[in-house]
Amino acid sequence: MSTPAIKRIQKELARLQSDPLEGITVTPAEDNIRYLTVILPGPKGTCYEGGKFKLEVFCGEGYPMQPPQCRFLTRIYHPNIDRLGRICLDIIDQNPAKCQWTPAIQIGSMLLSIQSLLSEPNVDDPLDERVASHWRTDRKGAEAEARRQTLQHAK
Amino acid sequence: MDRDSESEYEEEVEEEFEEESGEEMMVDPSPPPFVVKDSGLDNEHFTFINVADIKTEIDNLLSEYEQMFQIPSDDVLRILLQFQWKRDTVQNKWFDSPERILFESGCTPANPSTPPTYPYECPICYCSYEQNDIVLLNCGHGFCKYCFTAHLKQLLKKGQTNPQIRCPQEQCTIKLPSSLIKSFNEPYASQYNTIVVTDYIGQRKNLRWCPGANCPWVIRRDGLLRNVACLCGTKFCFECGGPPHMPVSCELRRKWLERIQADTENLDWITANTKQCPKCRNPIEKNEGCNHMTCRACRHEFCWICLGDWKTHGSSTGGYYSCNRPKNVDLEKKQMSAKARIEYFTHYLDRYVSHQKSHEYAEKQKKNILEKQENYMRHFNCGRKVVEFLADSVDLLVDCRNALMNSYILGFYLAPGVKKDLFEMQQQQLEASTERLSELTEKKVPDTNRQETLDFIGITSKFLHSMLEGMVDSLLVVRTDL
Repeated sequence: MSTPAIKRIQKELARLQSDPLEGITVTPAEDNIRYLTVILPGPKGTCYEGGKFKLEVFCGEGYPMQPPQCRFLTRIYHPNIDRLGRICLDIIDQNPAKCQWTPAIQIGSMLLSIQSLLSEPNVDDPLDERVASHWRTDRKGAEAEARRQTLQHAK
Repeated sequence: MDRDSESEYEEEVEEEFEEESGEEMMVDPSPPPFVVKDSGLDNEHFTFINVADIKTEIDNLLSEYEQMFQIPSDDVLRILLQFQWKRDTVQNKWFDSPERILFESGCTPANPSTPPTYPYECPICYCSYEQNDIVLLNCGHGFCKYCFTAHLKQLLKKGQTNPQIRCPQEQCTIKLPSSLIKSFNEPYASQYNTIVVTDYIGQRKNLRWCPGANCPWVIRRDGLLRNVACLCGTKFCFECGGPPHMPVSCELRRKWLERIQADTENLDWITANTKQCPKCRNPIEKNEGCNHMTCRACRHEFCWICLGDWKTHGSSTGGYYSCNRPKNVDLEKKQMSAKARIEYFTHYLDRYVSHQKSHEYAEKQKKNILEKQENYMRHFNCGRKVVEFLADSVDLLVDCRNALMNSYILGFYLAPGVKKDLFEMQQQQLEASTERLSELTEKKVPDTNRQETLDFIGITSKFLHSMLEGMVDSLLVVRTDL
């Protein structure tokens, strides 16, 4: 079965194969091309450096008109990512009223946006308020904790 | 029914009434001139507009700027949307730099990109198309019309409320021109129109949708009053959309509600439904709205609010109704003591809660008014027009109780001074006359006095108006020591 969505995912994957993003790997599940497993390296010069974070990306029925669903599978200490790995990012917000997704955004550019969220946590729009307040009150301490958890979980 | 036949009908009814009821009651030959149906919710100050008229207003605005700036209507709309329909901002910005305002509004791209070559690959479905299948925007980004429509459909389906829809290309600042959106099949055009109209209404301070369910009316405020009675029957505050609460402002009301919520213990004591008769100490439960109480045991008449003798209330007995002013509290003092502060708060809270209860009773009376009217018609053998005063009286009573309840919030926050004195005088008049009206509406059918009720409807609605209208200016001085 090849719906337009499947065709697009196939082409996106082919492009990611021929023109890969630095350090990022995207692997579709054998039995379902809509389900992707992503390995995202922590950006250099941040408290996530050296970590390899595993994410799951699911391009649902609405894709590409609706954003894919993304979740960190690796534990990460970040104000915009909660303990379940859910990500607070405008382009993939599951709340339609807030979502800035447009169908011209590709999986690759979405992953780059997630990576840059790791470099620049947004403490004004937190998902995990406890982590965010740690970040606001004691940025150094919060970053040390993030580094510790990266070494513990994302090696 | 036209005017003539209506008055004919009235005459008929009255003749009938006079014949049947004999001399027992004097009948008012014409409806009293001062009866205002939506009392306190004076609709002279509001205009009811339908959406089509708003649409025309927008179209006029668009063509005005189209001519003034000599740009297409699509661009005018994008500019107005970007700058919240603010005429001053738009004109100033335009005269500063037309190029800049066009860019800021998403009419022109930052860097015009090269026109695509065909066959062109749609960046959404990654399929190749010839020119006539591509929707090309002036930023150079093109999409196949199938994906483009699907995207638009998705946006509108998920309840897009922002009429500024961006070019789907990542990072692109261009906003879609309305003519493009409307060129797609229905229902996109009409849905987009609705979004634009809703945005316009939302941005205009003097416009508001009626919050009533499925009510199509848009209300324009022409004065300073806030209590609206929509043609659909919904009554609401123009500013916050909540229940009407003049004379107190939305902000003070919110503060008050937070405060009394925090003070539930206090409230428990006050909301207790029973008090003792001040004379014989028999417990009395209040189950009607009127504050003029008569003890069943000793026939002592007293005021529920201050527990004082009713003889000292109301001008009819030569007394002076003044239980709206706190006693034993030195109001002139700049800073109250802790004890005085509690007394002060309790005074207002007590009265607020009393009127709140009475308001609930009045609403209950209003619900049962049809039944009462039927009884009245049967008892006095009269027509439907004659019994309208019953409904009018409880409608007014509901509004008065609501206004009085909210007036105690305002009273609580108002700083002492001439304004407060004037306000308390008006409140006093309204309260006294509302109590009398309340008594009249609670009478059993055979004891109902139509003429007196009509008189009190007139007087009370005048007092209500003067209290509400007297307090609309925003220069009220608020206490800061609470």
